[in-house]
Amino acid sequence: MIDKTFIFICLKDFFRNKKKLSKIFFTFFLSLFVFSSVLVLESSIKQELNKSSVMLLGGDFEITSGKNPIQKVILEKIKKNFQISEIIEFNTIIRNESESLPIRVKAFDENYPLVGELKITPEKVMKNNENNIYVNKNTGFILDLKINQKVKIQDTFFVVSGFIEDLPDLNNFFSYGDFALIQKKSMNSLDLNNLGSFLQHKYKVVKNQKNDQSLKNLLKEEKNLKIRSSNDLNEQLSKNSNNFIFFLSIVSICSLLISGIGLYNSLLSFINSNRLQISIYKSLGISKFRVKVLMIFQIILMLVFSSLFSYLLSILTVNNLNKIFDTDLFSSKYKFSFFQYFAILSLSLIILMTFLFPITKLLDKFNISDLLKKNRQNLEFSFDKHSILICSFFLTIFISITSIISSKTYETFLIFIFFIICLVLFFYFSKFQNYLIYFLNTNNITLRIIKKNIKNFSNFNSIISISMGVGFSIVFFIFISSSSINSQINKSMLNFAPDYFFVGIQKEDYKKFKYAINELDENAKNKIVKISSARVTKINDLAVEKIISKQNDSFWFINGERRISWQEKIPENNYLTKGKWWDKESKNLQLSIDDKVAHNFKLNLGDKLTLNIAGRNVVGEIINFRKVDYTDMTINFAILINPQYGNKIPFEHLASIKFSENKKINLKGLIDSFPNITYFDLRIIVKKTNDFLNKVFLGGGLISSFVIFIGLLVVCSSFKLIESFKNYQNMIFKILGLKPKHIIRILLIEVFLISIPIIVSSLLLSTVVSYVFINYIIGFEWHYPATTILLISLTFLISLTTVIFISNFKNLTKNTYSQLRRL
Amino acid sequence: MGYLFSLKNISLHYMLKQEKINILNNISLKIKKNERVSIIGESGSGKTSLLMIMAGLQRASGGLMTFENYNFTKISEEQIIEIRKSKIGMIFQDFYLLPNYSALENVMFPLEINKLINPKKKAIAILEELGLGKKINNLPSELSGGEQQRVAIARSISFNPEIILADEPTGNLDAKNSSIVIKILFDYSKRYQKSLVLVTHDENLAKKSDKIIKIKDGEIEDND
Ligand SMILES: Nc1ncnc2c1ncn2[C@@H]1O[C@H](COP(=O)(O)OP(=O)(O)OP(=O)(O)O)[C@@H](O)[C@H]1O
Ligand SMILES: [Mg+2]
Repeated sequence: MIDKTFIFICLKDFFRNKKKLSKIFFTFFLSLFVFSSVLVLESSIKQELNKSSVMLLGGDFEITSGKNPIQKVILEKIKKNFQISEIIEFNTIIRNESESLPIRVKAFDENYPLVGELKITPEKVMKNNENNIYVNKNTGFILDLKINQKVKIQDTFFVVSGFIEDLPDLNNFFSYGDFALIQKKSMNSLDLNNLGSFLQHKYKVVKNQKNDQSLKNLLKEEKNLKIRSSNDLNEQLSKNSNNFIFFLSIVSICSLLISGIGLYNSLLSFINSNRLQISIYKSLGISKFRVKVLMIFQIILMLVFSSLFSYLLSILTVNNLNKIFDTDLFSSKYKFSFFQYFAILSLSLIILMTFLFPITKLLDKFNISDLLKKNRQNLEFSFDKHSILICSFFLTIFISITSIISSKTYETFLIFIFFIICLVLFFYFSKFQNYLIYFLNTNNITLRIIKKNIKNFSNFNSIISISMGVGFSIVFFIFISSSSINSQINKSMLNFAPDYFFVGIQKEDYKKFKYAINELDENAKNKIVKISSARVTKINDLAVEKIISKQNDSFWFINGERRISWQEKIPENNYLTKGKWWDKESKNLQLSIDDKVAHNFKLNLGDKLTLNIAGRNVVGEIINFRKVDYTDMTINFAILINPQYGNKIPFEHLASIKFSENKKINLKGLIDSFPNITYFDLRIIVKKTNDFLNKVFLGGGLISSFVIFIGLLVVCSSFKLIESFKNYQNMIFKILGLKPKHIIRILLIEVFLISIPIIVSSLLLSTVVSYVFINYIIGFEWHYPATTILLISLTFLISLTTVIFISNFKNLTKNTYSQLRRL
Repeated sequence: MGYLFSLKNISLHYMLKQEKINILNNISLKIKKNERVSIIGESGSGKTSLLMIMAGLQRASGGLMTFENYNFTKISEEQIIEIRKSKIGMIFQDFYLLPNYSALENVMFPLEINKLINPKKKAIAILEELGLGKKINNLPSELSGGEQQRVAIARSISFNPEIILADEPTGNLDAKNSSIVIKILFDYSKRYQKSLVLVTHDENLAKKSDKIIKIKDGEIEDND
């Protein structure tokens, strides 16, 4: 049936058809480009985000064993399968001849750092035979340290060998302010027993490439070990990045659907432009089957070309995005992966298969006698039952495959349901529109022509309505969701995080301290609160040790002294989840407790906590729970008490200061004049966190605006489908005496009549769906960017108007007769 | 007596790959009101091209043409369209009916855009006269070639134009229908004292007209 000569004919026909093919190649290409770039972007961003979070942790995993090291046997077991670096952290005092400073020290082994880079100035000059120390710049600055100068920890001398510019595993290590690094062997000369309760053994672990045995599985017997993976970095960050990655996969599905619309429309217009040729082939005796093969052959050949082309181009684009946006969010060494290309090709093939059957069925309708008679009449392509059945079959396969592949099968499936509902909804919507038009009775010739057009082209209009409706719903959905996600990320950006915390400001120093800060930088933002400390001893008269186990996630709450504070108003970044703010009449102790602790301890309003404040036991009543976000790095307390009570107990002050940007601050004077005050430097971690969030923010914005842009283009191009038919009709209008501007006016009113209700209804639909998606699936706050949506819709309408105006104006003002001959 | 159409040294040429192809050369002719003119000539001699120039659907490459008092070679296309709308009726070799409009709607269209009264009644009357009374609601695709041609003729005379430019209006018709169509066109022209330009291959038919213009290779050969 298919011999060599036939293949030859196919190929020849393909190349002879290049003009028609090139016209639809653009839509084909665009559709596949959006899909493949989103795929490439997605995996590139995933790679880089993963790198970033691994970097923040200092490995794929971190094992903490507390005061004691992990047993040798277990360590060997881990070493077999993983790369590991051992670290000991402790708090201590570092001294030079005259001064001292509390710091956090990290002792590292020869494997450190497993990931990322330790940046020291001047570059590494550690000598093997000595106890070396690297200090952070601030410590060097306060103690006025020089390279090779000696400092003391306990009674051991250390040689200052460099200043730390940057280190990879800052996460968690930061909260202690100033820090230093020493080699692990130097630990031998220190008295470990005197290093206090903050001593911790930590193990950074990196997966071996060949081995993917799960670490958690390996250590599931070891109940004392705490394992953190780079995925559960810090709650807020990981929530952000996980949701973001999920969002990316949603976007890629959406882009796939948009590709589907684009493919379908360009297929239709391709078949349509080949109508005459197909009829002639048939009249020359080429069988139906061969004609179909001929067409399918060309379509598939084009699919292969355009998908390859778009995939290559998207790799090229992604590899250059870093330069364009001056970031390191995107991998700049993204390589052609045959597997990925194959995935793109086969997914688009499945989409193609979905439409191919009903479209090739159209071919049966083309024959020369019919064509001559029906000359310029519309292509009729209503789907029959058989076609719908086959379409649904392929669609089901497609949905199942993509849902199963996706990491969130259930949610992905829901997105498809949304898509199908859109499809059906807009199909009936267009029917309804046509129905309404039917009742439009008017003597105005313009309106009558429009009515006639809408009625005559109702087939096309359904396709346009569905394309537009689904396209817009997807575009708006992506837009609203991405701006909700972005506004959330923006909120978690540490824009208001202070540079320093100052602890231990005595009552009598308060005014002097405030004055001193003002002297340093009069624009510094400071927040000073009164603090005291307390220990929770009993809950509802039961000793805490008896009722709260060490395994409880909020064990820290009862473990030792807690700082407490009191404020007249609810702190800005907290909000009440239950209960009321202070009862000002009462003189008794009232408590406001961290909502999460309350949850973990199963506390209720009205429960009584016994606090040991300055040696005295007092019973307080819980009157509210507060949502506290510790990750914003502003001052936060798990326990707040009522001011009436607080002002009666001994207290000191805690200050958080944010100095003006670009201002060089010399803290030395301040520290010297307040010997009791300790301070923590937060700047590096704030910067790291913000960089990370910035990446997510930029990536989300970029990828969704890209999909939106192409989505609009694809929707716009669906109007092209109808144009060739209208061209002919418009030409006759012109012969009969309608002016070009009148004709264009007709076209435009028609487009507006069709598109505005669709834009409005898809906006409504996507608003509802994105609300559900953001609130219930992602769990973020929903944010509605009304003005931008208006702007997008207007821009779309304006560009559509321009496109229609330009393309028709050109046709209508050309020499009519030669145009007629060409049609 | 005033001339309706006056063409002076009209020429038309196309550029095909740098090469100039002359289609019409030095065409000069005049058409009076209430005059019936036939244009005959071999296939490819340029008859349709000439008609298109007269209808303002094609700009001449050179020469001068006036219709009534309008200088067609000078005025804007918008103005030409406005004139054509109410004064020039066209019948094309390929009919050019509106594909999705029924026979009736096709005939009504010029009446409506000219804002004439009772468009439907008039259109039905003309279609009935042309023997299409039973097919008024058929789409062009549901009509035979001859029927389509008659719809095109009905459309061209429906709005009472000053002149009808007919490009082989009997090309697709049998002898009986041909004579009906020709009779209608000539009757119309005579009854309303309107002009008629008829492109045809049929010498006998041409003889019915007041004047015959013979075109050969883009030039007027015989003008009597
Ligand atoms: N756009 C064009 N480019 C080049 N040549 C053209 C173009 N349009 C028409 N011609 C040529 O002009 C010549 C006249 O064409 P026209 O249609 O006027 O002939 P005609 O006399 O109406 O013929 P027929 O009786 O077959 O209808 C033809 O030879 C044709 O090839
Ligand atoms: Mg001709």
